[in-house]
Amino acid sequence: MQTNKKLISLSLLIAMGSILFTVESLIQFPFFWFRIGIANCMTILALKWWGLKEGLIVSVFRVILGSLLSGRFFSPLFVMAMSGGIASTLAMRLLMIVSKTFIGPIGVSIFGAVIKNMIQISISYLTYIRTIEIFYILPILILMSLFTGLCIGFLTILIDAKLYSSRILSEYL
Amino acid sequence: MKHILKKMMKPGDWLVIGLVSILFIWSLIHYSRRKNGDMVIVYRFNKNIYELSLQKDQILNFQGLTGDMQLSIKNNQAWISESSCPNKICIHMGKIKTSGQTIICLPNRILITIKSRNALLYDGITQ
Repeated sequence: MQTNKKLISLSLLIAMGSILFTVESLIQFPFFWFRIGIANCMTILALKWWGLKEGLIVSVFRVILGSLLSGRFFSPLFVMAMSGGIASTLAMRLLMIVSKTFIGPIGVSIFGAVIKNMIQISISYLTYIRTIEIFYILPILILMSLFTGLCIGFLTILIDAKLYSSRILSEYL
Repeated sequence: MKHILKKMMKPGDWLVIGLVSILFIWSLIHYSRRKNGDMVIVYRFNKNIYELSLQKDQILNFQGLTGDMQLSIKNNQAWISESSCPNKICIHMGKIKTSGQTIICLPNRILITIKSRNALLYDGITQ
């Protein structure tokens, strides 16, 4: 049945996203709120295959499940990841609607990563840090999100191509 | 390898990369200009004892641990003009004007810093 297949594939995306989120949160950066965001590729795939609702589902539940797994539920990490994730999902879907044939997963991924990091730092300014000097790291943040967005975009293309070539995808969509 | 790279990138991707690079360069320029401060704050033993405005030209005489000190503010700059400390390092630290800059006099346990108005919401958060 069609809805069953969609349920299975959504669950798989959420599960993989949560595991990626948990594993990569073990990698610590000097600024604690910065993540490589590998799990974003699951969100981009969901946005690409179905639409906004499925993308939001994957994004929100990935953050919840990932935070539960890594023991950081309702911590600052959770709040910032949730807000950044929702905002970046909406922004990415907007970009996809505006130019579907023009922009591939790489551009979408870079855009999403930049939006996500800017929202994260703004939320942390409003709630936790509260000094205007935190925005001094914005240039480095934008540069790093450019590079990570590039890598995650490549990853998304590779996953997509692999699934198409082995014809697993046609069973699940 | 380069062939595959060319095939993966769509024209819109280059547009996004270009826009983000412009954003990066803009933010670099914008945030390398440090904000001119509004307030001068004097700490003794990490306790906030004086808060003065940087805009107003004034001279403040106050007590450090070893004796008298004098803080001068003029032309939106602040510096220590007299001090009772033995080495007078704080006087040679010069003038400060942008937010975040500090002058420290260790024997007197004095720290003078500049803060901008937005940052005065909280001096710091302890957990």
